[in-house]
Amino acid sequence: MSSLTQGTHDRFEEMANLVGPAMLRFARRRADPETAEDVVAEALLVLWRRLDEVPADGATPWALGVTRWCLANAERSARRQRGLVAKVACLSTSGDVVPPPGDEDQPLHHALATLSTNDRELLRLWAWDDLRPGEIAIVLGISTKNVSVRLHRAKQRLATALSNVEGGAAVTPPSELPSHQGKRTK
Amino acid sequence: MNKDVETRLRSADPLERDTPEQHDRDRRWLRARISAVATTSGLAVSRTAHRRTTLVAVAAAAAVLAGVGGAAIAGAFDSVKRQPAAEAPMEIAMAPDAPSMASCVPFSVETLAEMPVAFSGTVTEDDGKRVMIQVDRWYQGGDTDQVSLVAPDASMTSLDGMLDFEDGQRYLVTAGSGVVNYCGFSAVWSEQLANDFMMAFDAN
Repeated sequence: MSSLTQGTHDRFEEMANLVGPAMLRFARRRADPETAEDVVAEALLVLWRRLDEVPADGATPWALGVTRWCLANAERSARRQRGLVAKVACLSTSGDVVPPPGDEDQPLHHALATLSTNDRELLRLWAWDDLRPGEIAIVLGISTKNVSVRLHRAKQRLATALSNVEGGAAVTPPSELPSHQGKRTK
Repeated sequence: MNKDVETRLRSADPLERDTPEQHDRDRRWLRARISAVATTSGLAVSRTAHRRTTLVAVAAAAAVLAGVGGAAIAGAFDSVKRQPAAEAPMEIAMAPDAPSMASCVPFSVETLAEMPVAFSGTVTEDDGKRVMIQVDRWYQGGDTDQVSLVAPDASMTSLDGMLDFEDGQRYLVTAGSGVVNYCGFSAVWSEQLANDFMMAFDAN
């Protein structure tokens, strides 16, 4: 192996070890385990090819943006292959999440399900992936200011939706909820 | 959002219930995967670097042949820019909005690799003015679910060489400078061309 290739090899391993765990967690939150691994494997290849493009001050959100892009491709491919739809029904970069177990906070999940896909993704990036607005902006390819405004509104809408769910107010009918949300009630 | 809602939202993270065994499994899988990519991708990267160097000459020749301004193919050599995530369809013109004297650059995987926009998808709508394509795979330059191809004003441009996009048909499409590239760089989906796209964009 030449010194150039060895250098690239070392830089990739260092970067992948830095961002890889976040990439895998990101994918596992949004897809079934097998799909998540397939997506991260593809995202790691993209990371290798674009190693020189990784921003020094935003490597993790940049890598999550790549993972999100790979997830979207997987989702499109799944939609095309109707036979696989059931397998990846919970997979979405913009919509649903991995089904909660029976002991999960069902009112919260119902409230989340009434929000727009954009609101849900913003809240997940913030609360689950633990990203700051500036990092979310890198993942989504939009401005930090835009993220801050939209995130603030998404939090307000979640609080209102949760209040409605727990207060028994009318919410989105179950037919419009993701299938796993409608089925997994206590 | 009050603290209670925030706490509940954070607690709803599906990975909150991960066991130490799951963490170990993830760590092992990642370590193996990273090692596999680093070990097996060296050749591919060397090949890509060689290809980029070669393309400088190809692009320069194309610019001379086609004329630098307004040529459909010359647009293919724009720098690659990822489109921000969006729900609205990406809009691409099916032809330049003015007559063009573009010449075709012979098809090659190397030239294909320089296309800033590349995807495969199926035509879902065609109203004569606009062709809507449902994207099933992005190879380069976008992440929208749909692409809208805007038909040119027939009085302003030559339709020679353009693809006839048919409802229900699957295509492989490339574009540069917001215009579809033809000359074999966009065509009805075929296994051969799909393989070329995969090679060009190092896709799996």
